[in-house]
Amino acid sequence: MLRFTVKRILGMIPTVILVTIFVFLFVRMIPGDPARLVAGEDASPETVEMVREQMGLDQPIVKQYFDYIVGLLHGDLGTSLKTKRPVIEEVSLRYGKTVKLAVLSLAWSVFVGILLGVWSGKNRGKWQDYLGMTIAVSGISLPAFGIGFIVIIIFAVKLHWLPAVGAASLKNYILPAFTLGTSIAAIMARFTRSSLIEVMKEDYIRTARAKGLKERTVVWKHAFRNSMISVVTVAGLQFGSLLGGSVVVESVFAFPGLGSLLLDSINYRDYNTIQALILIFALHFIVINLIVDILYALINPEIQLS
Amino acid sequence: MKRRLSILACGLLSLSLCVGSMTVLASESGRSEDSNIVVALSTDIVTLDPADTTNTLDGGIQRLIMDGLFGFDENMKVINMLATGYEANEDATEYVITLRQGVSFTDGTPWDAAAAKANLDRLSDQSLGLKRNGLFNMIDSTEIVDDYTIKVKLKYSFGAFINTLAHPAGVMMSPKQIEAGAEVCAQQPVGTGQYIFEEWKVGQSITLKLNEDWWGYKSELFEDGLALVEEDAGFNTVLFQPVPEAATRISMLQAGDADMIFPVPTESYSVLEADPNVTAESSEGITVNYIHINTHKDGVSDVRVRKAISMAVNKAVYCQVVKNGLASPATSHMGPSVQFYEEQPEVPYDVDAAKALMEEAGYGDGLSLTCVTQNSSEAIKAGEFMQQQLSLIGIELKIVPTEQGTISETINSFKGAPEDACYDLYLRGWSPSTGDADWVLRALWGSEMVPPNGSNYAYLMDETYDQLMLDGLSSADYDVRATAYSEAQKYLWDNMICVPIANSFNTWAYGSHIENVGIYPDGALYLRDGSYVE
Repeated sequence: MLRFTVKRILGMIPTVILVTIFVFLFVRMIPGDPARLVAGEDASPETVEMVREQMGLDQPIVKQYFDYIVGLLHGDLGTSLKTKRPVIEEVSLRYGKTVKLAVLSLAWSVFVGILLGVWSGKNRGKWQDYLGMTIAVSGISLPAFGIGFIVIIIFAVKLHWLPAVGAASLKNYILPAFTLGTSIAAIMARFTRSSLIEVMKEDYIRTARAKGLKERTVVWKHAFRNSMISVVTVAGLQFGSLLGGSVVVESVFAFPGLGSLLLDSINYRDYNTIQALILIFALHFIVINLIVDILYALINPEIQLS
Repeated sequence: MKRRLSILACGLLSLSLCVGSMTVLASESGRSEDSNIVVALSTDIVTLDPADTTNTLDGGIQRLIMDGLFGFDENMKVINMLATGYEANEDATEYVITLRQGVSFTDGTPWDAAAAKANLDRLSDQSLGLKRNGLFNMIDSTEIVDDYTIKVKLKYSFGAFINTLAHPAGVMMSPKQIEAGAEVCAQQPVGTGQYIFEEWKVGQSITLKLNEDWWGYKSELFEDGLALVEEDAGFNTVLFQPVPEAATRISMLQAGDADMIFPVPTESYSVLEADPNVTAESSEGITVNYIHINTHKDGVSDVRVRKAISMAVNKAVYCQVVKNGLASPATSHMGPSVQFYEEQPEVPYDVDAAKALMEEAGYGDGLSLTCVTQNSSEAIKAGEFMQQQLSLIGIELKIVPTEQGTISETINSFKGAPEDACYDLYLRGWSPSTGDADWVLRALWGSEMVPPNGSNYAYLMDETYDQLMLDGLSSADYDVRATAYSEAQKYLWDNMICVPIANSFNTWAYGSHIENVGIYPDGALYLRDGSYVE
């Protein structure tokens, strides 16, 4: 297990290097001149050039990349072109909030999604199945901004129970976490259901039933565990994208997270911040994939880590 | 059993994370009911350094913390703030400014000639590379005449200097902060203002608290014995919060999570007007929406075609359809609140006359033009409106909605020949934040402002017009300047160098428990007189 983990971590290094190169180049391929954007529309060319020099954008691109990598190795993500604050500070101010929101969203949605999926799956073709899947399809079909505004109008404007925006207290997280989790719960429910149905056809389920085990034991002990493989994969991927922050939901709830920071940075061509964020998002997926692989082995020891 | 436990642990982990963070987080409560107000704005605050700011909303917040030598009243007329008056020499190259006495910065530093000099030196020091240094490029040197008098020498005649000092970037900060460096200026501003900077949670909020000793409350500091504002004006604290989504800002106001919101999108304005707990207001701003015309492109280089475009666009309908009634038809190349504005003769909406002009110019069979717009939904709507209107006179308009970053590269920084620029028409507004004719008439049509040097999107390079711009700056005398700008407006109108369409309104809304808050014509917050209604 340890060997496997170390090997996987070492294997991440080339991926990360590739990511830095691609991100660095892609960011610079977006049309738009950051020096001009920073200096403002009515700035004189001299001011624009001075800003460009200050930002180091007048340097050859290879030197810029080299400086970026040297900075990275020292844990320095550079300075935000927009706010002139260190990128690490900009990111860390929002990182915790995004993680908290991602965890809350995933926690409720995985729990609800799995329950709904199992309920539908074991009652395949019955009314429970239809009801469960109708809920799931609705969850996937409703766009997040739609759900967002609906819950704001109900819980903030009409009932005054919860604040509409911000991230000051847990109350502020409830509405965005609900909104973000809805589609995930729906996806989880559908995956759990189809995966469970597949497993329920297996011979060992028949054997278990033939042994006279209770249906509950058959479903939860024998079928559920084996249907978890695909469910865990999906949950991992969803968690990865949640950690990237949701631009739409963060805008609707004025939530100070990584998604709105990314959008802002792209609008402003804030190269350093965009680079840092995409690198972080890539790292999230790499780490999550590693964790998912380890979970596979825990769930089904027949999957060999090596 | 062990395996089962591990799965259970996974499930429980997710639950416990949920519950765990609940207990950690459930601490803070909602808004208290004093005169602490929350203002929700559309964009995040970038910096609090006025010399390094290009966006109006940041400038509005800075103007609460710091006062300028001069400022604006709610109608954009220049008023004395930290100055009590000025005298200019005949050719507008030397300004002697007298300073208000008995004023201190909120860190205790006295406001005097040395403080004024420190600020003007910083604003005019082009080596600092601050975004607003260019605006004060005309300053050559500032001398201290006595403790409360300074003399500013300019490099060249600049009749609009006092308006430039009244620009939001011209507010004065404590010399101590200037000494402490750019970072301190950007993050912990100290001024003489009505509010004191208290806290900045990056990406979330900025809090200001009331400066009860503000000089604006002291009637003894004013010659007429009247204080700048009423004694009870102001709020204990003002918290600014960036809320990018307009519908969310509106919900916050309706839910009581915000006391004031700005801007209100024109399409939501009527909803708020109907809400009894909310006051929605609008007023004519100084932003004019233009159809900029690249006068070097085939077809539109002909004045008849430009006039035909001007006649074929129904400006009143534009105000209704695109702006939901929250705009007024343009009557000059600058807005009525801008200094030296002069109303021009109406160009009647007349499709037949426009068609005849097109025919006369040799485009009776039609003309195909490329029109760049920004990519906001309102800008695209404006483009589609123009497309429909101009199709009636045989102009086929190709709309190219473009994102701001790309516009900055392909239009603002474009270095090629005018004929090679990417647009025939460009829909764009302009707001002269000095409130003076110079920063619209010269900024948009002076030949020194051709891209990449400025925003002369028409690529107008006309010596007669440039001379008028020089004349307007050659003196600080009102009449001399007025004559030059009157002629310039007439020139632009007669030649239809660009088609002004409408004067945009600023729209804002606030809870009915506060009053006297609003927006300056330049789009900055006006909170000076604001107060809480019991």
